[in-house]
Amino acid sequence: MAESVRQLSALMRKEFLLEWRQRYALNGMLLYIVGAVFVCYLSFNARRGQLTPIVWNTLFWIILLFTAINAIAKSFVQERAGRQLYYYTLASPEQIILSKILYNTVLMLALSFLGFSVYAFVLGNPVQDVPLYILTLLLGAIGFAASLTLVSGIASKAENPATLMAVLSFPIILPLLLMVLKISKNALDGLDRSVSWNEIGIVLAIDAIVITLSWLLFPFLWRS
Amino acid sequence: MSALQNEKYLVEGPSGLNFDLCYSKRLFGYCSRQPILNESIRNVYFHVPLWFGMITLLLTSAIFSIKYLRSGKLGDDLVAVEFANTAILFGLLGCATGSLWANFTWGEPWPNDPKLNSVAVGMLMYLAYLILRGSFDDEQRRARISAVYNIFAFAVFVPLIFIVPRLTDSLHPGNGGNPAFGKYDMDNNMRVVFYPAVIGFTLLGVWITELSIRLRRVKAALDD
Amino acid sequence: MDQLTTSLTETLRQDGKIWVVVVVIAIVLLGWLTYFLRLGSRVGRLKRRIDELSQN
Repeated sequence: MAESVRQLSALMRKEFLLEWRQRYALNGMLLYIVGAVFVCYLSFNARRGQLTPIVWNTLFWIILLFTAINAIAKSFVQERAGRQLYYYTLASPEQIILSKILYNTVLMLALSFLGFSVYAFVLGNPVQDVPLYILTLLLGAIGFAASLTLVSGIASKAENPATLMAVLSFPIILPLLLMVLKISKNALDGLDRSVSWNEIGIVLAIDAIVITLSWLLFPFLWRS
Repeated sequence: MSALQNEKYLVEGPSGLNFDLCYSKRLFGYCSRQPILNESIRNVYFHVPLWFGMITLLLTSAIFSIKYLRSGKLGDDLVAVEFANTAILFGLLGCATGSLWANFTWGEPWPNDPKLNSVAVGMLMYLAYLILRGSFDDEQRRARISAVYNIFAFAVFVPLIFIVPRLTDSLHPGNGGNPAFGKYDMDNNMRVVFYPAVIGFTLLGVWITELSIRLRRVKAALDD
Repeated sequence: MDQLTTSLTETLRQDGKIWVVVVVIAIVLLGWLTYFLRLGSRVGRLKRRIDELSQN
């Protein structure tokens, strides 16, 4: 047990190190989300607080969705086949997928918090229950990372990973996105928290299903 | 026109033809009376079994994908694809019939209903599965990776189809606080037709699938 | 055109919307039929291949 935790942390360290060495990619992602927010702001030509809450919320999550797909798509594509083979001889596939999911969660958290602050800065912040909204961001980040990591693994094996990534991930992510949209809308309207428990439970259940399946299915994926 | 007259009219037919076949009496005979649905409640025998059949076929497809991952036999993968194919056929037919029925009872061919949208997303998921299969040349690789995606897609499809619609308002029975059919819409007379119809549609789906599987096997044998 | 659609709609609504059921049945049967025809053409192609093989 202790051994596997040690290996897991080593793998995590490797992910962060790799990202740090390719800082331009990380900076690119950060710029991507800031740019997307700004483009939306300019396209709507909106003064602060002029968007209706529902548009405000949906727009934010759509931006996050595209950022997530772009950010997570490269988690398998960026590593060369030879290097992947090398990692696979060192660690078990379960540990690799877990470390990737954890790393992507952290990445998504950073991206979504940055996105949220920039978004709230330029478009105004109508959120009435900020802690619940942040919890939603957290749940969303875990869910996006968990479901998209396996899809990215699948897409990276095919001929045209970029298109396939989008085609495969949009329908897969949708139930999660709908639930998260609902919770965040509740938080936005400042509804009583007991209204959202049901949805939070479902998001947690979906996260659990997706992580378990990634854990179970990834060994079959990397063998090829 | 009262129910009794209506029934007589339908059983005897417009020109006084006597339908005395058992099935036609069931089909055109007694039904519980519905305010807006009127006679179109009989669509329950044709529209709903398509969905039940589709879900059963998809479950079978996922089971064969698991079987493929365990055994590595290409035959299992072939069965999984054909089950998914037939399920897509059932799904498309279900969409078409549902859209027609909705047009005459809910007033719109595609009302913004969570169940419709969930199913549309589910169809996208499985169309993406077919696209994924198309993007590999190597047989073993295609089989393994698409099996992984198939299992993953089914695991997301289940909450999408069973949980998401129940949380939001829906026109369909059994969702968003609406009573499930059976409470008001169906009585025992209708169940006598409905359950056999479900079993029959499912078995027909299995039979169609079996034909395509046998065809593929012959083709595979010929290619060798 | 408009009149045609309304009259078609009216026809389908007659007799307690039983014609909606008829069209639904027709759609299901036609859908299966097209699938079967496609399956049949695949069988036909396979048969031609087998014929060619047996001739050689």
